[in-house]
Order: sequence, then C-alpha cells, then structure tokens
Amino acid sequence: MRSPRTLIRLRPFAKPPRARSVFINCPFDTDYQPLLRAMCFTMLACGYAPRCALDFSDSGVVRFQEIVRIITECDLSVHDISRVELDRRSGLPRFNMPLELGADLGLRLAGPARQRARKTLVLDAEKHRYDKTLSDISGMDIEAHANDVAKMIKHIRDWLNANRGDQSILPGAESIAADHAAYLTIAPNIIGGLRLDPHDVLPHPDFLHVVEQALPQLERARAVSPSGRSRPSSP
Amino acid sequence: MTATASPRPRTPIDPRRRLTYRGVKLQGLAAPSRFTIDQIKKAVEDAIAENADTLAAIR
Repeated sequence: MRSPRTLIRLRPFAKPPRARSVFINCPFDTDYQPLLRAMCFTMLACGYAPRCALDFSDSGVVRFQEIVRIITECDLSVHDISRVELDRRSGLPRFNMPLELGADLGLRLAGPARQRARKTLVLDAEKHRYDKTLSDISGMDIEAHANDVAKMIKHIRDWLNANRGDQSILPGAESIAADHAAYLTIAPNIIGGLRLDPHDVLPHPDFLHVVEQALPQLERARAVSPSGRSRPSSP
Repeated sequence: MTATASPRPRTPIDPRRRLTYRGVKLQGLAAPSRFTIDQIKKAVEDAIAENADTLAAIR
C-alpha cells in the first residue's frame, strides 16, 4: 500500500476549486484555436482555471459522461455556439456544442441546489443568429465575438469581472490583450526552449501551464522600460 | 525552560500557488503537463530575455 506521501507526489495537480473553475464548450479545430487560446489566457489572467474536454484523453471513458463530470466540477461555464457551418469533411452539422449547453442548462434549471447557482455565458459569432439556430434560448444574454480575439478577451474578462463576488476588480481587458499579444511574440521561443519543433503547437494542457508561468513574468518584463527603469504605473 | 512548538502549515506549500498576475492570485490547473514546472519556467524566462526590447515596446 502506498504511503500518503507517495500519493501526494503522484498527484501534484490538485483540482482547482469549483468557484474558480470555468467549463469551456467550444469547437476544438485549428480554425477556432486562436479564440480558444485567447479565452483560456484571459481566464488564467483573471485567476480562474479553464476546464474542457481537452483535459482528458482516456479513451476508456464515455466522453459525454466525462464532460458532464467536468461541468459539475465548475461553477461557471462558457458555451460558444458559433460553429453552425457544415463540417468540411462530412458535409453534416455538428451537434456536440448545443448538446453540452443543454446539459449545463438542465443542471442549472433542475439539478442539485449547488448547480442551480451556476453562471453561464453563451457566445456566438453574430449577435442574433441564435434566434434562428437555437430559438429555445431566445431571451438569454448572448455575446457576439465576431471571431475576433480582442472581443473574445473583453467578453470573457467582463463576464468574469461581473461574477467575481467579493474578489477585487480584475485586470482590464486592454491590459490582458496587450499581455496576450506579448505572449504570442515569445511563444515560438518558448516552444523552441521546450525542444519542440518550430511548427509544433503546444498541446492544450502544456499551453495552460506555460501561460500560468508566463503571466507573472510578462507583467514584470513589460513593467520595465528598454533602458531598464520601471515604468510609472498608469492611473 | 519549556520548548514551544512552532506552528506548522497543515499542507505543504505549493510554489505554484504563490503566482500572482496584476494583483490576481493564479489558480492551479487540473490537467498535468508533460513538462516540469522548472522546464516551463526556464523556457519562459529565456524567451522573455530574448525578446526583452520587443516586449517593452508593446503597449
């Protein structure tokens, strides 16, 4: 039998608290990846932990079962229902995102007490398109990101700030967007530093850990002017 | 003279918990990385050093 000390060493990544965990339901294709990564960057910068289906790769579990488990471990969730186009290969629509949104809303409406306090943000690329594609949720607040990274950062930051509870005000969207641009500048060097090929894209869990380590360092680096003196803090 | 036991934290201190960004305390992550924290930290430090001037110019 393993000692408690051994168990701690084998499980170094404890789950983040539910109140600070955000479930993400969105496309995972390469076209959407810049938006997903900007979303995750913003959540991390605001002190929240992004969770999504990319967190696990165990083919032995039923995917939807695992997704519902992650949803219940997060007090907040973001659903992007913008991918309404037909799949290029199959020529058919994808229903995974509306399914996961439905599971979330079901928990919120009729789940256990804790789940009824869930906070949900629904995103689409266009403002009122969901009236035609998902009219059952007409009347809910939906934000449109227009497939634009800066708008995505602002919507996520503003929504987290509105739901921050007794936490102090979160960093502004413009600061996070500037740090995100700075991160994109150094990302190729980070990938090289980790001895990956230049064309490699960081796998999702690795990306999250890199951003977590990069955020404080980027803040410090950008606070120092090229001459080495600290910049005065803006009002 | 009676020795007094110094108070000890109940859980080990995780250095990742101390990370802050613009006054926000960063959370831990659920999924493990293939890389160690030290490997990632060094890659980020080196990348920032290599791009110091570019980063300082970003407003």
